[in-house]
Amino acid sequence: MRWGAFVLLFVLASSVVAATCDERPTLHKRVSCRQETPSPELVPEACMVPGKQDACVDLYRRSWQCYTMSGLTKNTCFREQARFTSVKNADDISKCDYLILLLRDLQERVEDAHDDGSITLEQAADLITSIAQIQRQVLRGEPASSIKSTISGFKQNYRGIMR
Amino acid sequence: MRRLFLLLLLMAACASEEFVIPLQPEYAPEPARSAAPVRPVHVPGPSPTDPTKLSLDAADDVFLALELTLDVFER
Repeated sequence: MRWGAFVLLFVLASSVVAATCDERPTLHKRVSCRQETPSPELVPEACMVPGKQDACVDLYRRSWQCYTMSGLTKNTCFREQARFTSVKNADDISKCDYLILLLRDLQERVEDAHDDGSITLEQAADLITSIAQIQRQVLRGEPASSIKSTISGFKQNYRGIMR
Repeated sequence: MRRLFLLLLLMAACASEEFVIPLQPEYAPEPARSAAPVRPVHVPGPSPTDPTKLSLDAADDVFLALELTLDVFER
């Protein structure tokens, strides 16, 4: 009985934390909240693009094991999950999915750096917010030149923080 | 008198700079030959064009893969 109550309390507390983070008004505040109090993200921020949410969540779910890998093996895993068969024959959806997975890889690196104390919460939240914004740009199908320009600016910021 | 004159002349000549035996210059070690660091010769390999062939060890590799993939869109 005591254990049951404890579990129920834990589940309720977790859902309150999750709800609290999800209810934050801006992307930056939600990211910062989740980074501070790790809580399950029902829908990844990157996927919050109308019409793309389900496919994006599915991509996130089926690709989690890629992030336990490294080097070329990880890249091969990304390619398979994105169904990016070859550079010449890949369709736009698989190229977009591949970009989403690569950007998520950068997010993983930022989260690791925050976890080991290399960067502050604010720095981590800034970088993760930028990554989610770029991922949304990709899902919205914005021109490659525009995404490239955003990534170029982000890269400078990333390098400045993640030294 | 003449001998004395010659002796004085000889002494004056010996005192002149031409007869001063140059002293051994102070030892100064030769400037060490700067051993120029041997730079590794960079042999440019084929520039990567396929992002999926990159090993994603460093964040720079991920950025390169992103750029190459976006290049594919623009082609």
